[in-house]
Order: sequence, then C-alpha cells, then structure tokens
Amino acid sequence: MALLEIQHLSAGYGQFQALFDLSLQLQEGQAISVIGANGAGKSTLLKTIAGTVEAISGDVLLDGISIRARASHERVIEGIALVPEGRRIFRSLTVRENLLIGGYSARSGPWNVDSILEVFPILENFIGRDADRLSGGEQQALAIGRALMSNPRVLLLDEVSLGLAPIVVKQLYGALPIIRGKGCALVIVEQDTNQALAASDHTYCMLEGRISLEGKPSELTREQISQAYFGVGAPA
Amino acid sequence: MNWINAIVQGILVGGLYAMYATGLSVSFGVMRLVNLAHGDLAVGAAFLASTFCLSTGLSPFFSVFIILPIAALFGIGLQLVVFNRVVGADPAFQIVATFGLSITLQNVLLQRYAATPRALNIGDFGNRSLKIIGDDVVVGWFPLTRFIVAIVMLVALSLFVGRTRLGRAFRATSDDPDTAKLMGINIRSVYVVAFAIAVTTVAVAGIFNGMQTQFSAGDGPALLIYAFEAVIIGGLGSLWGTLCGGIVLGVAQTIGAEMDPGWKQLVGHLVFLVILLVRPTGIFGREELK
Repeated sequence: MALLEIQHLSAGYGQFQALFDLSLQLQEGQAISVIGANGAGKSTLLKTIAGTVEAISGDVLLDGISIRARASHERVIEGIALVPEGRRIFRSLTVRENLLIGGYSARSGPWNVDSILEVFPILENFIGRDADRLSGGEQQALAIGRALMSNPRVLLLDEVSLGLAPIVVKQLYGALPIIRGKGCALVIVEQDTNQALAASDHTYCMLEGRISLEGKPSELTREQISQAYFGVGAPA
Repeated sequence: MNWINAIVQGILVGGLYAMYATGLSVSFGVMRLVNLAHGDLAVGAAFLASTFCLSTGLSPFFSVFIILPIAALFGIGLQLVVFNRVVGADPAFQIVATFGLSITLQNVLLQRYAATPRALNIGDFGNRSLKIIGDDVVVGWFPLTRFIVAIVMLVALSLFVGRTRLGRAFRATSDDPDTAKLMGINIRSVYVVAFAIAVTTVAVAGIFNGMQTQFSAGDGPALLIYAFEAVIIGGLGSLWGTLCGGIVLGVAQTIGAEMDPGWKQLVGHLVFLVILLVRPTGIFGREELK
C-alpha cells in the first residue's frame, strides 16, 4: 500500500480549476518530484494535499485512509508537513520560536531543535534573532527545519530553490538525503528540473493541471521531458 | 506644580484607557477583528457587577471573581457562534456583525436596567489619597490601584504571549494565519482564546470605570472611542504600545483640562489626530502602511 495516494484529484480556486483528475503515489521513504512550468498546478497540488486548498473531487489517502475531509492542522498531526513557496517565515518570532512553533502539534520522532541544527548548522548562529533578519537561504533552511519539527511522514517541498543562489540550493538539497534517511518521504515541487530529477526516485511532469509524463528520472529522455514540460506533443 | 499634577493624573487615567484598549489590541492583533461592541461589553460587565453588589451587598472588588469567568465564557460563546464566521472574511461582514452586537447589547441593557445611570460604590476607598509632593501632587488610592491592575494585566498578557506555547501560536496566527494552520495550529481555537481574553480584560476595565463614574446602557460607543484612540496611538497589535497610547491619551486630556476644563476631550482627540497624521502606524507600530 502506498504511503500517500492521490486519486483522480481535481481542485481549484473558486471558479478557476487548477487540477484535473490527477493521480499519483508516494511510497514509504520515497522521494518523488513534480516538475512543470509556471501555472502547471504544482503548488496547488501540494496545497490540496496539505489541506489549504479544498478538493473539488477525487481523494487524498494516507496509509489507505482518506484525509480529504481533514482540516490542514489535522493533517499535520497525521504526518503531512508543507514547506510553502516563499518560505512564509513568521516575522515576529525568533528563529528558535519558528522551529518550536513547527512542533506545535508534533508527532513523536527524530526531529527536534537540536537535530535540526545538526542538519542546518547555519541556523545556530541566529537562533535567538528575529527570523525576518535572515537571508533567503537561511530562511529556506528555517522553513524546512520548521516543517520537520512536526516529525512528518511526508514532507512537501514547494519551490525550495526559488530565488536562491546555486550554492545555497546545493546546500539545501544536500540535506534531503539526511531527511529521507530518517524515514520521511518527500514530494519535491520544482521548476529547476535538474535539481528535482537528481533528488527523486520518480518524477511527474505537470502541464495545465494534468500529469503529462511520469517515470524514473534515469529512464526519461531530455526530449520527453521538454515535450511534457512545454506541451509540445503532450497528450491532450 | 499644577502641570505636574495634571501629568501624574493623566498617567493614572491612561491606565484605565490601556485596560480598555488591551482587549481591542488582542482581538485586532490576533484576528484583525475590529470589535465595535467592545465598549458595550465593558458597560455590560459593569451592570453585571452592579447586580452582584446589590444582591450580595459585597464590594465591587469581589465581583471580579464572578464577572470575569462569565465574561470569558461569553467571549468564547460569541467567538464560536458569531465571530469565527466573519474572521478572515470581507471586513464589511465584521463591521456588520460587531455593530449588530453593539446595538443588541445596548438594547438588552436598556431593557433590563432602564436608562437610569448606575455606579459601583467603593465607599471611602474612592476618596483616600496619597500626597506625593506636599498638597500639590496628590494621587488617589483608587486611580493608583487601577493603574497597578492595568500594569499587572499587561505584564501577565505579555508573558503569556511571549513565553508560552499558546502565546507563540497567537503571534504566529497574527503574522500569517494560513501558514499557522500548516504548523498544526487550529486557528479557530486560537481565536476563541484570544476573544475570551479580550472580553475578560474589557470587563475588568468596565468594572473599574463603574467604580470611578456613573455608567448607563448607551455609554459603550464613547468608551470604544477611547480604546480605539489608545490602540492607534500606541500601535495596532502592540500590548506595551497600548499602555503607552493610553497614557498619551490620558495625559493629553488632563493637560487639556488644565488649560480649560472644556478642552479635556478636545485635546485628547487632537493629539490622536496629530499622531495619526505624523505616524499612522502608531508609536510602537511595526508594519508600514501601504
């Protein structure tokens, strides 16, 4: 049984539908990536899994049990954590408080402030400072650490590399194997196709709210990905 | 020396305004809810205290032990039944809901207690005073007590917001409610606790106001204006700013009264307008207005 299963999911914002009959699976300990151009529906997919966007139809199953009716804060307790696009750090909280608030409804597990500082030692220098004084890369490390504080079974990462220098992105992606090693499955949404493919076992390419291609990164050709990404010759 | 006395009295009056404003600051800070019924809740608490005193014969100071739990429960009920439906919605819904509550409370109080003003009798305690500088600067024990209660209330709230797990959830929800949900925070529950605190603190203010002066069913909107002015002068959502705002307003009023007894309210409102003009975010305001 898959850890997380998306079944024929449709979702959107008011009259605007962003996802159409979308299905995918995530196994225990696996990392999958979701790639696609701007507006493909990648972030909406993560928000629907996290419960901040309501599904129109279809289902989200965790361990085979539907969590579609659960509120977003309840899904955290079930083991789903989202690192939102744009970091969304709490500005009036210090770095330590941001981490602690991530563990507000924590499950038991390996992650706590100390273990997160081991993975992201750069945060230790700023632990007592207001979080809004961090650089973009430090804020992204904090956002990932904050999400890990709930000891999730599934970590949803939305555009981790957005707006960051390549060296910072490399450092952040370097932490993902450690996170996986502690039993957390990953869903990586990225526009940076190379990073996403390198970090995942299985990839889904999205186009206009639908899956246009899927497969193991090593088995997909650059041409196939380009077609699925930009829609040239993609299935209707 | 009269001016020094006026400033001292203004600071003490500022404590009462800060009490009024604390609840408004909490509900706005956490929920972005501007509660137009805030003053009516204070008046309602004063009337309940009056009923308690008349029926038991006890001092109004004892009434807080009964009124405050009632106020907290009322706040919880209001938030669950009414305000959780309008928080985060179009501000027009908030205005209609809180204005509707204000009108309802005023009419319920008018129906139950009639239009006759009441006061909470604290006996001799209201007349006792402490000489600070000869006969020139004299501080009443009651205003001093009220000021100390305001400080204790703000320190307690500040410690709660700054040092506790739920307080962190308050601040996170205030910063970004959507992201707070992703932390596993049930923001509706946070709103309920915040509004219970807001109603409880304004109930304390209402009881202290009733000990100082007469009150009647229609006084709520006037009290709301003082609370608004103190919150905006201090900076929206800032607890210590609220105390500062209350003191600035109180001092402005007493200095105005010192210049001319008829200028008390006028100078207070003028200082509020000047601060709004010069620093729209308030003295302790953090966010820039766009």
